[in-house]
Amino acid sequence: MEKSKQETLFLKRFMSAMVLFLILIAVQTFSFELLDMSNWQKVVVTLLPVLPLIWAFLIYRAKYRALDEYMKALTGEAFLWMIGLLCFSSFIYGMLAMKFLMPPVELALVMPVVFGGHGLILQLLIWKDNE
Amino acid sequence: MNNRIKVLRAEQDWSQQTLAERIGVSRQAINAVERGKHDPSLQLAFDIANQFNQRIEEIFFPETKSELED
Repeated sequence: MEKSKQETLFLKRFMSAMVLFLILIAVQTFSFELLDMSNWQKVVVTLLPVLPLIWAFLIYRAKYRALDEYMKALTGEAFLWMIGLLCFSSFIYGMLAMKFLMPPVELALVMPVVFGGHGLILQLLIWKDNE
Repeated sequence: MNNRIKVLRAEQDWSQQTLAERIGVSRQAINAVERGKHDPSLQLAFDIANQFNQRIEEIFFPETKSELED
């Protein structure tokens, strides 16, 4: 299969997962507003949006496996940078939180920040090698 | 690792994109190999050499000691 076709297929699948994620966020919001649910139903509805994210992760893993060796190396390095940044920033936050009153951090934002940051770092690495 | 890919491409009048499509890798991969920023695997080196009908050692050669020290 041509690279451009693979890229188009990846984008279609990935965007489908993102659309499904948004739909399930809406379902979650309306369910909490309009329905009288038991606790276990609330847990299920709350976690529903995780499913398309797992699907998106599997789509991205398939894309990674289809990359050439150079793009695999850069993608790995970008993840290393992002995991390093995440570990150091959480460690710094934790150290400060032991001594000072720190503002709360929304943990649900960690994943989008990691994946968004990874994409940005990957583009920077590609740009650095191609400048 | 040094290489003669740019010269060989010019002789064939191929762009990096053309060579990348013939081999089935990204243009960025060809650019990185060509500029010595990525040492290709043996398979990729063979693929590149095959495109130019040459042997690997006619295209790729190690950097000299002075180049490595720079």
